[in-house]
Amino acid sequence: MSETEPQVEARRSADLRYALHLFRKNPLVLAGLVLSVGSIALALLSPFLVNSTSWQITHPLLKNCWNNPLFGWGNANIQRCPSPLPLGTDSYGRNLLTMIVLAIPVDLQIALEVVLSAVVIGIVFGATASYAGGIVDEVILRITDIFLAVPGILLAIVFMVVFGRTIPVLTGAVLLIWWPTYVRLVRSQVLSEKERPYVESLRSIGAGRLRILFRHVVPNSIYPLLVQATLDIGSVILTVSALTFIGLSPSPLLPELGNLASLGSQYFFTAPWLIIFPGLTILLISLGFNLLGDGLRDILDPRLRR
Amino acid sequence: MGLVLFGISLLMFYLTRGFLPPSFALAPYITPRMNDAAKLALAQSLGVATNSCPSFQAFSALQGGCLVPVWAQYTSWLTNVLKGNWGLTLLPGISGTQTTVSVFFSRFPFTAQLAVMGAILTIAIGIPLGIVSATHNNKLPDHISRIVSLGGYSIPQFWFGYVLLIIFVLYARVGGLGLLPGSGPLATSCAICFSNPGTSPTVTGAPIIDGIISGNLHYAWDSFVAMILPAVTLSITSIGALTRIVRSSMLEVLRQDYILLAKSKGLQERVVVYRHALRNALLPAVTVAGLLTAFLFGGVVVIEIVFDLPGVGYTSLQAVNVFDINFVELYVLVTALIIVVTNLAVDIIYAKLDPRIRY
Repeated sequence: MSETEPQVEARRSADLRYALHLFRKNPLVLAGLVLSVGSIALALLSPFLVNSTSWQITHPLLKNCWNNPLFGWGNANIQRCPSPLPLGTDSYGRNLLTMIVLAIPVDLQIALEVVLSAVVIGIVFGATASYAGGIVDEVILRITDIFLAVPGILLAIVFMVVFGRTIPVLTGAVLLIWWPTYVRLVRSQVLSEKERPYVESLRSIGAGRLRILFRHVVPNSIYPLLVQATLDIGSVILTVSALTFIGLSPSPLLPELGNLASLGSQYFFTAPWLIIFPGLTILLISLGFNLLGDGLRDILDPRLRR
Repeated sequence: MGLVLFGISLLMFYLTRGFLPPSFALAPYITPRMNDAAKLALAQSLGVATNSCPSFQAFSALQGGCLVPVWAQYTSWLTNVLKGNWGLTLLPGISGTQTTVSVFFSRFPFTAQLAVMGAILTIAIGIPLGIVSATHNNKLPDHISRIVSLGGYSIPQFWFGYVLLIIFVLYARVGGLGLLPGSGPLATSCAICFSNPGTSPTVTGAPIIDGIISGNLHYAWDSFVAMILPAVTLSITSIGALTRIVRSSMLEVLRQDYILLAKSKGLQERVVVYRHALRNALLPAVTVAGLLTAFLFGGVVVIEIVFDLPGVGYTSLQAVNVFDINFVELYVLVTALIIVVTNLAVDIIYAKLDPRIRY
């Protein structure tokens, strides 16, 4: 009736092989994997690739030194223009390519911090709500309702005005937008999971409530959480860059993709690439995580394997 | 519903009163000619200073016994807010001359118009795209619509706006092409089309409607054309979201037995899809209306910055820079009210659409 240990092992490895097969079969997921892993690798390597203090050094003479070879279009009137830089310089006279490489880890770090904290908050409060039920559940649900009824970006703006414009506050402001989704996700997952027969049998052999919850139910409902987290890294980067773009950047000099785009947007008539490339970087990173998350959902969802 | 609004007001109140010095609560109500005694009376009437406070200096120095604890300020704050007493605006240029409420509601119709246009575009593109995607599952139209929806999800809105501007305005001008009719007003700033006193009749504050009401159809058309790019930019994310939802629910419905039955009866494909499947497939799409409203009203902040539009989103950023928190707070509460009402409407419509649901 029940499977023996080797049978379980065999089924698991077959599952894994099938998942890998699905993975290889889907070029979009592979593209997502390449983009997301590539951006993380670039973020980790960025201190070795470029001088990590160069963002603080502005070159008034190189300001607006736009001789972008890709566009074959630029400002050749400035005397001191150096040999063509790959993407030209930004309005502070800094090498734009260097700034983008420096900005990727900043954005990714904020996104990862936000998503990981949201997952932890989601597990703690979502599991508590669904397991405690009754008034606790009701209160937690109503609080998430409140946060979901405010446009996220407005909430973040108010939060940043009150607590100041720093990177930790920016992270907190974006976390404020994201945590309710995870509480609800974990809650609904745990609710459906705890009606399964295995929970009943665990209870019948005398396992404690907390043990069942955190050792069995939560790990079993982790896949949707993983998918949502992967998808949300992209969305968080979009929100962070939108916030810094509209002027809530901790410092105008900060190499952060939204901030770089904001600097470039002032010159979009004369030097469109100054906004095109930072924005394109955001698009690629976000697209990477969204493709990966979409693919993970298809692969991890057994209902779609028919 | 009331509970949610109450919670939001509590949240806003604690964020702004609990963590900022009390002078911020006073700033919108102070007029230039007030002396210290008047300021103290004001602080007491706002419920920020205690009645036993000896002088305004003592209050400014945050002396003990002068400050009302934050939790006790809520009722006086709420009465003020409900009476519409949001103080004077601190916005640069018009600081102290108009009330926050009048500034907000003179600019809000513009933003609402943009959001409504975004919503219309979202529904007009998102739903058909989702249907086509589901009925042509894993064929070319499906791939295209998945790319559109995923791209819409991943694209930074502000960047998309600028790319559209670069394509339609910059290149159209350089190449001497008028890609869109009247590409003049589209040029970066709508200052040209919306602040021209000769042509802008202001009745409601929403230019298109104003133009139609006052019979100035030329103005209405110009405003409409100028709003195309902002509305497209605004709706791109929600189009992605809606397409995805419609596609998955349509796929789910098309797999069901009654669809098979309808097909085996010999009904045309079109009839099966649009008469039998669509009604059920749209149910999940209706439930996200509240979420999409939040999307749209949050998105306008960024869009109005990119396209230089004179709505409340743009103004709230100006307000943020001069710490005019009341303006942003008002924006949050009005938007929250709209979202809550939308959610209520969704519940009612849902019950109408699906007779199985009873409340």
